[in-house]
Amino acid sequence: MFLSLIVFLPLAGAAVIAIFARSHPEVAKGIALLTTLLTFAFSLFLYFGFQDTASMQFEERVPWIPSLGISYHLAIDGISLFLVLLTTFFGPICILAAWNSIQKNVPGFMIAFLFLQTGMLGVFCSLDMVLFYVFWEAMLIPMYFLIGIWGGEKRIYAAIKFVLYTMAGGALMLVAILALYVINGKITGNYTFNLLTIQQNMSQLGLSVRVEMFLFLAFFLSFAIKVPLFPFHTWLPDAHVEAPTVGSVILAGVLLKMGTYGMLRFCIPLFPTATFSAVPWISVLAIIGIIYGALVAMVQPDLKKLVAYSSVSHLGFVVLGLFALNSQGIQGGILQMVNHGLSTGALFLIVGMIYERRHTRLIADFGGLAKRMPIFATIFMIITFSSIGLPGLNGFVGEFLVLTGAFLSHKIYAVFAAIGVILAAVYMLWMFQRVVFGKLENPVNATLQDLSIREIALLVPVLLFIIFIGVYPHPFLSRMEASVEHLIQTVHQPVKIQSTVRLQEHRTNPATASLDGPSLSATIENADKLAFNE
Amino acid sequence: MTTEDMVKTSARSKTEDMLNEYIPILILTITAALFAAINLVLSHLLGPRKSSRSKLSVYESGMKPRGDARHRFSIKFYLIAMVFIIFDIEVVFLYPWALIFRQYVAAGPFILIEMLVFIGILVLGYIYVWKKGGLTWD
Amino acid sequence: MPEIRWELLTPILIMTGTALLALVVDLVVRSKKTVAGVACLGTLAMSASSYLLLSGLVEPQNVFGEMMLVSRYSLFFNMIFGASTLLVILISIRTMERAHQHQGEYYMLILLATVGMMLMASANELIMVFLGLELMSLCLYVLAGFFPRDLASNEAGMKYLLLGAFASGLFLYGIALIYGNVGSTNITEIAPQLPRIGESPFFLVGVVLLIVGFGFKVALVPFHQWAPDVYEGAPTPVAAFISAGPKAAGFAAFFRIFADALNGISGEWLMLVAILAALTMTVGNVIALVQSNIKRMLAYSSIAHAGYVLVALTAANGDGVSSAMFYLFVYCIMNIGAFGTVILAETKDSETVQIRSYAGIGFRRPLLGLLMTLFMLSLAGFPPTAGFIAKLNVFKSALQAHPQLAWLIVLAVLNAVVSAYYYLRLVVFMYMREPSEPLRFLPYNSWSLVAVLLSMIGVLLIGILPSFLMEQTSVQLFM
Repeated sequence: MFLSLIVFLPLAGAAVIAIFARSHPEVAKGIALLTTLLTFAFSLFLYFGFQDTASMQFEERVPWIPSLGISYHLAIDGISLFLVLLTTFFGPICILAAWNSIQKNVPGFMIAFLFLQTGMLGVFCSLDMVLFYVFWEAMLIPMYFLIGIWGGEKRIYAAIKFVLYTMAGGALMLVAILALYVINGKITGNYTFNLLTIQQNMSQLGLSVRVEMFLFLAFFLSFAIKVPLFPFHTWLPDAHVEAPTVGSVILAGVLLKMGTYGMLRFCIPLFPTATFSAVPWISVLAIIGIIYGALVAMVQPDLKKLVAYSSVSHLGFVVLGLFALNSQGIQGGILQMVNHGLSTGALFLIVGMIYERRHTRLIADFGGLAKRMPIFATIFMIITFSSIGLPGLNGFVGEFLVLTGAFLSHKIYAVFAAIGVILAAVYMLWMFQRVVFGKLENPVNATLQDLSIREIALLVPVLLFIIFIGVYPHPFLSRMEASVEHLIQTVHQPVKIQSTVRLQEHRTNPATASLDGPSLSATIENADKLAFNE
Repeated sequence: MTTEDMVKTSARSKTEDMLNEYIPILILTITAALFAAINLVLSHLLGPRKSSRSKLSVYESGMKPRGDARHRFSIKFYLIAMVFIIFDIEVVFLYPWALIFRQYVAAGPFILIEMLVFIGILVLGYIYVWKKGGLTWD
Repeated sequence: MPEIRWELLTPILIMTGTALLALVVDLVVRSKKTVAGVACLGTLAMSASSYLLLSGLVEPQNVFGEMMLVSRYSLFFNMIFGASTLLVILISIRTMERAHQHQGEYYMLILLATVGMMLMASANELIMVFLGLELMSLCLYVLAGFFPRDLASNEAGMKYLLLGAFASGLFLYGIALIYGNVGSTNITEIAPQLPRIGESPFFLVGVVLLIVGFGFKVALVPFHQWAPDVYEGAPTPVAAFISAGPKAAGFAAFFRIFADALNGISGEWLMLVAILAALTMTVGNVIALVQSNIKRMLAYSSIAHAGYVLVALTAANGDGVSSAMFYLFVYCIMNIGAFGTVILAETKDSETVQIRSYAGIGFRRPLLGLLMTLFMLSLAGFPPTAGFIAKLNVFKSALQAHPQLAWLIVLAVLNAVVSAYYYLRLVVFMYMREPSEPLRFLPYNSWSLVAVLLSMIGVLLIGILPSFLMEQTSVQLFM
């Protein structure tokens, strides 16, 4: 019941607001803050009660629609644990950030936000594919309202674009889920949407390379849109720029991770063969994303757009790490998800704070803020360094692991990705310099107030984690280690067997070999490499 | 008598039987025709004669026999015609019922009740038309 | 004497009795709400008796000789009709009071149309299907043109009559051709003869004519042209009615004949149905994108939904039939809910039918905005509403039966994405745009509100706990 409590507590808070505090903004804020704090407090128990094994923990399983084999199945492992924590962690921070900046229809905002919390937590906890899909889609609705009602000028365009992009991906995923259900049911006789059961059965299903590739792509596409991986990223800058601060924070901090989490939970363990053949393509896309995002970020005049494009770049790192398919890469990828959530979330908070003061986000309008706002400048600096990946801060650990992982699998990817690290330093430091240092030329900036206690209070926890992970990442890595190892084993095991079998098949039958040309040769290559490694 | 003859006689007697069955109908027809003719003749002989313009015109349901074809009829005609057709057609259902009545009434009063329900529904319709003013001209 | 089995006929008898009673009550009482009340109670009693029969019935039962077949299938459809008729009566009360004429007749026509639908769902004879179809259609023609002083309503009635009569003709011709080959109009007698006549061209022409006839009735593309005009012109509650029950009834007979009697030659019609489904979904959704009148938008949306239901027919098995039943139940509830919300959004002068008039409603009429949003989300198939489970169920059964029709499922889900655009457009207007000129809305009419809230509860409840309803839809084919 514990996970259910955490997942649905925000929804209950939303219901309380809807019933009792529809016309009392202050009460609504209070209830929302209380609910998110409680949720966070409960989720801490998850961390401390978690055993460092690969098993699914805090499991709950109740039949939901038995005739279709759908169950209400929640559990977490070392991979989802941190994403759940990240989500609950950002809950109170976002409410505090919205405290004064949201003026219009505050109770509505709080309801939408709490609804969103439930959706995101549900995504990270579900082990039933339909349940996963339900949360995945249900979460769109509150996000749609958050952007569409409380957003900037082009908010309607951004909101609809966000929903349609995600839905289009989700639609393909739904077909893939149904296909898996049907194939698994036909062969094993057990019609179920349970992810773990299907994952276990995958090797018996005897999917042809082509079918597996289609299914893999259907899942991958929907997650890649969410991440967003280049070239599916165009919705992201629109959504980020138009969303209110809190929307951007939650979008960067948590929502984008749903994509990378999905890859880790569905694509890689379900379709190892296809994953291996797709690694070169995905890695190249990730690297393009890293460099393209960084280059575009560099020339942005708008702070928020800059941070948005830096997200594209950072998530490229995450994807690169995950598809290195070794423990360094995947652990680094997961840690980098958390890091990106913390640092980019904090950056959006910072941007929101000066936007509230000046009602502009153009870098050119600022300069010399360090003198007027020393606390702001200090915190901003730490976050900037975290985002760049300065050693001693969280970003370094994640990026280092990702690069190591990439280097171990394909050296060339690591080389290109490293360029991204340098570019990140360029655009972030340049931006920081233009905003914070230099002469205070604009007289309007001379009247700026430094951060209030509320603002400091909501940034300090983020800073603490940024430093803590940077100095001592062990508590985080140890929690996920077993799950990651387990994942890697499940991926590598069947591939070795299958690809050797296929190798023989294709040697005897050149006609089919020519049919799935590049993907097959990649598979063979990987299999050889694995054999070589051992 | 050969078998052939026997078949012929029986066939003939069958035809005769069939024709015999129609004799009552023939009588009925003749009676009806006579009744009509006698009445017409009697009224012609006994009735007083006062002719007027409209009485002398050709009878067309009260319509002028000549004139523009695009003529506006009172909608009341249609209403009456519709009501007539509805009740007239429903009565048709009484015939098949009457045919099998004797056969089934032995099994119980169900067939009678069924027709009562049917007539009941018709009466309902009749009351409806009446109450809604479908039977009054104005 | 043929066995009649009255107990199995109670739902139909109750409905017929209620229709007659409504007629009498209308003559006697002055307050027309009483008529609506009688109609509601009768519909409730019918649904209850259907449910009781459904929970006790295992095997399909022949009644009235072999004229009708009372089965879990027909009884479940009775409940669909019961639910939609009840909701429609409730949302009609306000409109009819405003119209101030022929209120009693209105309710009687609705009830009689429902009887027609029930006959269609439980018919075991092609002639019986036709009889039910005509009983239903004749009532609907009158209902569509119910406001004689409203030109749009007149147009709707006339268009519906002409195209409907045409469709009935084609349908009847199809029956005739099938009769010519089978030698009987009994639906159960078709299947055993299929091996002998399945290839006969005249028989197949008859089958195609049946598809065309049903296609008109349930508004499949390319036989859908009447639908938008009729929905737009007809009084809003009537549009809600036409979009719900009759469509379900059309599908009830359609599935009964095709998924069941003609299942043996499903190879012959499967592709045709799949193409019709693809066309119907796509055309309906794409044209709905550009509508500015909410009733027209809902018309095209309901065309698209017919396409989704047709996807279930491609499964051509019991599973597909069950999923279609589930879908139709959900569809009726949410669609009437959406129309009901349109009725709730009335101003002093008229109903609010222009989508742009909904600007800003979300904050000034929070309940209205919430309800409309919910129905739009459900129609678009967002979880956790009933619309999602219904779509999932249909796609699942279709994919399970014919994996080679995966392209149809992909098309269907992409269509759902397209449809999200226009459903959410209404939400955009309600919550994200400011009204150009504020409309003065009347206070909510309590009867319509009751109906819409009932639909809302249904949509949410079925969305979150669908198992109960799903168990009711489990049927075996009748062969």
